[in-house]
Amino acid sequence: MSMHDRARGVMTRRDFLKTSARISAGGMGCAFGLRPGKGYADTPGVAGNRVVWVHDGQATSWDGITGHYRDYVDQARVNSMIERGVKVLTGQPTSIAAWQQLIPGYSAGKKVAIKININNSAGDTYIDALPQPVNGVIAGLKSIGVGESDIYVMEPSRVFPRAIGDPILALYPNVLIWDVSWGKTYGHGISYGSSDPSLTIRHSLYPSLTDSKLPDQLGEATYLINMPILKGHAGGTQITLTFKNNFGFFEGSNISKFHEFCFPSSGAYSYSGNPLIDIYQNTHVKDKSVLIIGDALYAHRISNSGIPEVWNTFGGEFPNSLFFSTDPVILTFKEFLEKRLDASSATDFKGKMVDWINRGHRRIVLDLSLVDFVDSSGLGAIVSCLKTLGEGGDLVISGIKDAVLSLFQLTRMNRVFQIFPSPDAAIKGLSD
Amino acid sequence: MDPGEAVSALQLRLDSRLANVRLLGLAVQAFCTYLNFSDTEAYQVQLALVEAVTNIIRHAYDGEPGQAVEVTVTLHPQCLAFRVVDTGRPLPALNPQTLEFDPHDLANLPEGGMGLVIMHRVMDQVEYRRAGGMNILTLRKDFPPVGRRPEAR
Repeated sequence: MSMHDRARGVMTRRDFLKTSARISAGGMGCAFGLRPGKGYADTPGVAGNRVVWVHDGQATSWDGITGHYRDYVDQARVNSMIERGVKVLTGQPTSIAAWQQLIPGYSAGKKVAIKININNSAGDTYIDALPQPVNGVIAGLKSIGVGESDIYVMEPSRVFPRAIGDPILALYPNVLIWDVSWGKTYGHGISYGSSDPSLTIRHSLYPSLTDSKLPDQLGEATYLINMPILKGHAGGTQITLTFKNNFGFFEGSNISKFHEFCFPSSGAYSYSGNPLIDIYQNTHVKDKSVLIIGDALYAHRISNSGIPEVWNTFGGEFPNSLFFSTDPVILTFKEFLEKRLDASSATDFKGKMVDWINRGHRRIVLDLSLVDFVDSSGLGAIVSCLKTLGEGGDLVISGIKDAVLSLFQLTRMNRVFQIFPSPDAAIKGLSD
Repeated sequence: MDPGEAVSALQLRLDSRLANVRLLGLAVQAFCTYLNFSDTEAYQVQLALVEAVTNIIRHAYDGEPGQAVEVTVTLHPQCLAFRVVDTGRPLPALNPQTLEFDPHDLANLPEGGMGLVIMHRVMDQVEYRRAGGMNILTLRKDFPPVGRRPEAR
């Protein structure tokens, strides 16, 4: 069943019993059904706006104490995760076909820029980019004939630590590493000297920002692969396995100001606009972004300056996950990781659901199989979604835990919502 | 019922922000799990506390952060008791509420007003009083039947 089915006609709630689309696998905020077993997750919205989640519990083996976590990553398993991810993302039967689809029209001399997220300006134990997923991507690129010297691995705002650069160059000695241009570099010094006006981003709506200059080497590239890491950020951004990774392209004082626009506690923060949009609209970012791979092998929920943490969401283990998308504006993954629908998250949930409904989705299966806690605010938000759908649509529940079901029983809302054991059962039951 | 002498007690103090209610909820869940409540019972006790404190933040403090909510958890021989104190506006009397609606009348399904009902249905006793400029709410949950009781400590 397509995740993007839309029922456009008027439909009674009874008619809903005949057919159904569903929000599946993390579709609508709050971890509603993020299931690694299925190997993928879908975001709502237009076709192609999809996130593939690949998990391998044996990808990492760090015990949390010994040595550096970076040294406890299984390269072969990571390569295989990347192969799986690109295949599911593209729907191609082989990894080579997938990479050919992702990097269309490559010929020798065309550059592929890989923007990684080196976070480690202050300490080497912090959550940071790993070399192994970068190597997995390079292996994929090479499998379709991309020359090593056409591959740029870049972090324009940081000096590459040897511990990240050396394992890449050990396997792929002719790959070019580009890092910060001030003072010292590990690789080649990134430059901002081009007179090409398209490399300058103007922030006409944000007077506090001067023009931002993109690096020449991004200008040279034909393709951009963005590789953020799963981490929060000191100062209050939410999880930033995100487009925010693009901040690192820039030199100068705008970087810290960009961050302020992402901190809800900051006066610069706004729901309605953000200079990220200026960056996204630049042709070198928008038109070259062919793939985003979120590196969540290790992760930190809250901070960019902490040692990787185990997460309850991932069964009390390191996430051991990679996320794949071709959509460069996956704004935040936090929604997919939420396990509680309560007074803190209900408004956000409701807003996203209403957006989803207003885009034409009328029949929704809300999979709560990973949701541990719903309170009356969360329940009220679900009821509100049902009302928004009106008589022309419906919303049913699947996978609800017994404890959470008891809330529906206490409030007699179990008489309002149809409840199925699993999303598949909901689809099947509704189709019969 | 006389809850008997307190076995042990813990006081938790949180700032009036909804994000903190989550932490309280998780703590309550942990107490209940330790005391051999079933998953559903533990969830329901957590739910009652979450509803109570959310209600205080929204209505007694009008959603303003920077105010204190104090929760005292007391373990008695026969029950788990919670005393929740705030210094906000007096709350309307917490009488047992009814929740009547027609499940087929979509437009009139309730979206709120369920918190008090939940508290009364889940807990064995709910009492509210106003004293000395404070709202004092006490909630009591009796232990599970013999056989699933925690060992006395």
